[in-house]
Amino acid sequence: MTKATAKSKPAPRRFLESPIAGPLITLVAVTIFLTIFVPNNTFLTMRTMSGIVNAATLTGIVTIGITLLMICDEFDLSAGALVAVGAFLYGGITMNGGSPLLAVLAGLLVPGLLGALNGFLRIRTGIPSFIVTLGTQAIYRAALYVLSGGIMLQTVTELPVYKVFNGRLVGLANAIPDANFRTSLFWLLGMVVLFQFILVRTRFGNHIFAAGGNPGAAKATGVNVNRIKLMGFIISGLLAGLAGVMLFSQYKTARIATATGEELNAIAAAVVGGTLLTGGSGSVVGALLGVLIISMLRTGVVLMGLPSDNFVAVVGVTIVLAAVFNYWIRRKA
Amino acid sequence: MSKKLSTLLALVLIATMVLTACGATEPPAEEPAAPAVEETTAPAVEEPAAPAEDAAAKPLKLYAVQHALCAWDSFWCTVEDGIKNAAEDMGVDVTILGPEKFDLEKTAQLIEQAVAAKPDGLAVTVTDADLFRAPIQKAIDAGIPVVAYNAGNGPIIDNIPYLTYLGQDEYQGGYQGGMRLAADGGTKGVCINQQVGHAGLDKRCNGFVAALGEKNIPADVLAISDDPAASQTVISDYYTANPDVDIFLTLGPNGANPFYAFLDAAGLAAGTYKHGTFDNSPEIAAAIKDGTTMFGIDQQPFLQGYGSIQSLVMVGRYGIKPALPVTATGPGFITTDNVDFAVDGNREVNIYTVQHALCAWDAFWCVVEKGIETAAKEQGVNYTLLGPEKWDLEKMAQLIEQAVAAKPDGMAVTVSSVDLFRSGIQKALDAGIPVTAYNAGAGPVLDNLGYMTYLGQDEYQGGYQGGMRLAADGGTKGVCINQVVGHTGLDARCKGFVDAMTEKGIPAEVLAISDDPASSQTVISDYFTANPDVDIFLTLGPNGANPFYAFYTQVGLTPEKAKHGTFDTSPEIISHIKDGVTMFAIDQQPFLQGYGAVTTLMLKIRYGISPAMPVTATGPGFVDLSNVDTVSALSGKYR
Repeated sequence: MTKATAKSKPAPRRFLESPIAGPLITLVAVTIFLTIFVPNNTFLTMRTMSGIVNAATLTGIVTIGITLLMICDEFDLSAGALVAVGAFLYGGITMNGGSPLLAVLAGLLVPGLLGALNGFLRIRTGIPSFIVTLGTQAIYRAALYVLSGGIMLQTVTELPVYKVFNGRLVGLANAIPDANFRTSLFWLLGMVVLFQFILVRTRFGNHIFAAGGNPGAAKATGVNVNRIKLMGFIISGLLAGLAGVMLFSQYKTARIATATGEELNAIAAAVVGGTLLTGGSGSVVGALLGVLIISMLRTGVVLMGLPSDNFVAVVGVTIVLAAVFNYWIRRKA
Repeated sequence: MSKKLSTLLALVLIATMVLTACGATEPPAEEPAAPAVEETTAPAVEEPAAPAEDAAAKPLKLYAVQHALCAWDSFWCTVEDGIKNAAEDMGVDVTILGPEKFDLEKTAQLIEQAVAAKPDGLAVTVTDADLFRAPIQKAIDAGIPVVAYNAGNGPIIDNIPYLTYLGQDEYQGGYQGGMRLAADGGTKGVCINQQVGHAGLDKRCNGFVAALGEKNIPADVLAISDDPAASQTVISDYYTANPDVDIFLTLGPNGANPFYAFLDAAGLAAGTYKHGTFDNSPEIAAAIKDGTTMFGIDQQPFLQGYGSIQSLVMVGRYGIKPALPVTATGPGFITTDNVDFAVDGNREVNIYTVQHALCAWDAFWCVVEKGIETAAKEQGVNYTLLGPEKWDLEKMAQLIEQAVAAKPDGMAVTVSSVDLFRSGIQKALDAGIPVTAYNAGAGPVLDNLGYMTYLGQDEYQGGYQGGMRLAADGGTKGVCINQVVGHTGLDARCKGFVDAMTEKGIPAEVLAISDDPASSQTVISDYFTANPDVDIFLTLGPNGANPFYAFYTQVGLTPEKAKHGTFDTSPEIISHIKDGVTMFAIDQQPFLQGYGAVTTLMLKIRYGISPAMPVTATGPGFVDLSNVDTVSALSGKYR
């Protein structure tokens, strides 16, 4: 009897308990709101939709890493700086005729290594990652300044590797007018699928939840919490590097200030996407929804003719409301 | 799983470390910070000690202190090139000092070090006015002329009494850019700002919006961010919401880059929009060439270096001070015409200067011609000077035609009659000959003729700055004594004076006198009887100053009771500056009009640099106790 009751937990209730319930409801609500209130029916158009998706790709990739870290109760404020590091290495090598493979490896793995340094400092010193990465983000950007001499990288040369990481889907655009999607979309979706799988279908994923939700209990059951967290920092660095590679592939430019504040956008997206700041709960799919919600709101602000610098305020309000809503909906469940 | 995954990641990481350590990853421009912080340029040939009276050969030791160096930031190579070329042209020693990395404390120390060397002039990037105020003030107190370049806001806003700031006028950049974009009309404009709240960028947008407003075209500011993907979408969304937008201004590569991505994605047809941007980059240069972008706005760093040395040499040798608190080196416009310009500092330059009067029959012009001669000699420029043998504007028009027919590399003209000279000057412009106006003209905008700039006195600024000096310590009432009311130039002087007084809360009015000195003296005296509280007097030249001095002696005034300033110099005015009756004389600096005309053409022909403003002010230059001796010693030749 009892067993039967547990099994037959009603579907709506199960849905509300899931971390993506809040963001999904928000996404639908925002879509309906903007469809109604954006003038001239310009919201549900191919141009607008592809714009929303494109604007979400770079932040989206970074947000996946940030979400994993937040689930195991850590922060990475250096993610924006690592995007710039990745873009500089990848751009610098490809521009100077270096091997594309080497460029991609350097663009991904050096940020991954710096992510490992973040994790190492966090674990060895016991200083909260908020503080550790607040320091390292400044160090990484300063190192970039010194190494690059403060010069902006820019090229007008097209290389095949750029098309792979962030090329325009010309065939699609020709078939459907204004469908300006790019290969970055596949990278984003690929990473979402990969890390959602890792998070919910593997033991490592299970341990991430355990390390963030109840580290004491996790340790007691033999989980190496430190190693899990170290992995989280490395993944966050690798993904930031990938975002840098994708950024340079489309815009062929990198500056010291590239992706400044990206880490905060990612944290905001993760929170809007249902990840708890206290760790132990969250979802990669939710993170994707969070990024899309923020991207939609930005587009909505512009399409509704509001001054575009109001966007920042809209995001602020959204973070607060979404956090409140996500907590409320889970308490209800 | 976790163990396997972490092992795998660790392996890959180690592999990369090894790979990257092998040296294949080459971070751009990686150079060990050069410890050398001194770069000295000496004149190519050490000239023999010049006769003491030849001011143009006076040796000068100058210092330039800047917050960055060519050794570690390539932008500064162009600035330093400008400094070195100017030093070589003018035959002066310049020592460039800068920190071996970005370090403002160190830069402040280097300013101290430069001051301690007791140079004849100092150029400084005022990157941090608060930090640099004390060392710069030390230089000024020691009587060292100081100019700011590249970074600064001018002596007034920085609150440091240096001579001028040479750099880009951001508002003018946006304004002139807007005027170009809207020249053939338009429906709606947008200024795409990547950092709303940044004072310089906001000024650019303000100028753009004002220019479009003048053309009755509505314009918005669109805020974008450091994320190019999000920025591209914001621009695209803005365009969706405002499909009638056809004028776009971006504020640098960070805005132009997502803008080009937007254009590419949206597939906007060429000719349906106009785009201009600040700055240059490989991408912008390519877009200018293929017609996507109308222009890039350049701050002209070469001119910042060249101009600051030239300003210091003008002060050190001739007592000629910069006319304005801000000397605009930019906006300079990069268009299809000059995007591929090949700089050649040794290019042979042959120019014509055509003027409506000559030294041979009007002594004023000896000083202008001396300026032309000096600049041409220093810069290795060949010039032919033409002028009528008497006042004859028809003849002057013919001389312009004659000069154009000779196909020179450049031409300087006194535009004393725009209607008579229009066709000749237009012929030169059509033939691709750069033209500049000097001494007479109103600038390309008011003259409605496409020459580069007009070098002459800014009359309003003369009155305004004069008024500000006279009212600096307060006062009760001011009067502008005008000998020809209705003369545009003189009225502009009085307007500037009255505006300055009003700003200081002092009532002021204009008193009309005449060419008759006796009656003028009486008018001034009567006015004083009726207004005994007047204590600030401005006269507009010797014709006003002479009757004023007669009145001054008659009434028995003293410098404590009456402050007096005047336009122009004369032996009488010079002697009264020395005895303290007259606080200053405002000089249009004719030497600089000749010198500047040659330099402007030379910079255009060799370096592709265009003057930033339609009017390049050579005056007001102030002659006061600080430089009256230099001025009187050089009177008739350089002053």
